[in-house]
Amino acid sequence: MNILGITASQSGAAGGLPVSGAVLWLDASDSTTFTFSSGTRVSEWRDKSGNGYHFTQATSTYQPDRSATQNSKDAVKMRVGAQGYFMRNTAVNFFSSAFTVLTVIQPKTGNYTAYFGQDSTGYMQLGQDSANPSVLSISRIGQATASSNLTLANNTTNQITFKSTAGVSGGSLTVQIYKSKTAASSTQTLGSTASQAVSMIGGSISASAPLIADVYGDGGYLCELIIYQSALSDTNRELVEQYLIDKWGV
Amino acid sequence: MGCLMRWYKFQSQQDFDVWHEALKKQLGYPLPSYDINGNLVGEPYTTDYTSVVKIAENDFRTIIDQEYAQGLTPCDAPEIKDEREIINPQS
Repeated sequence: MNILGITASQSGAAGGLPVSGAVLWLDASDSTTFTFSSGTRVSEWRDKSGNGYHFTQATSTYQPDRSATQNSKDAVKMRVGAQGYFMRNTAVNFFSSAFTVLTVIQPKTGNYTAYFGQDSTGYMQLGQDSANPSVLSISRIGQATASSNLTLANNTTNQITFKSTAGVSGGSLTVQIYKSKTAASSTQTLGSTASQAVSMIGGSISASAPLIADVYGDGGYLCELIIYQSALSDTNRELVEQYLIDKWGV
Repeated sequence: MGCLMRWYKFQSQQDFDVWHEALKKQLGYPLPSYDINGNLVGEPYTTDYTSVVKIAENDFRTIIDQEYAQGLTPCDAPEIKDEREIINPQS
């Protein structure tokens, strides 16, 4: 089956994902994709998609720890104490056109949590509402948020998907959010948006907007993040979601 | 790793830079890179120990392991800016 140029296969596409064509694939369970500065402290998390969109962090105090466990697999913690741990890639703008972002994450709902986004005030991020962190939302960093009806419980691992049919287009971004294959009751839209070729997982700190995006919460962790540069069909989206749900025991 | 991280305050960027460069020299930066088996790989990816956030004139803050904080002035973490409009608020 070929939908929107994405080929689906129940038996598994090349590279191990059930749907081929991923532009980014960060898999915390694959030890060969990590470089460490010491112990479990991660300096590079390499992209398994073949595109080379690796995420790096050159400053020790911001490097995450590959020290969490989910379903007997290693996961990456993005916060310890008051520190904003994060990793960054500056090679591509994943929000410039249609996208599907699929992830497995255990956030802490008491924190302002960004799963994936960009790193400046006014740019986009996907995650939880900073004012009501149990609610899945999209945000224009430091300026606006659009919240869904989907909620999270604290200390639970979740499979979350964000899908957009156009990316940031005409100064606007519309996203459909899913939790374990269940769609939010409506799409979320933000205007006055911009996007850039700077992506991050975790949080960031800048002089103009300290802690513009907080991290996964004290003890929260990221298991896997997959991006397709297209709006996956429902069939293909659910194939990848089920792969993530089964793999990480969600 | 495993040390308590705290925020500390400097009076200027230059004060921070002098302190940071001395600490990096003491700790042997840039740090080498290792694979999962502890083997040295590639170039050193870790070039800095920490960075500083400018809050205001004479207020530069950084977060570090307490074990490296001798002689520094502790302070609060920078406040999170939250100047948002809420769209589709949930009741």
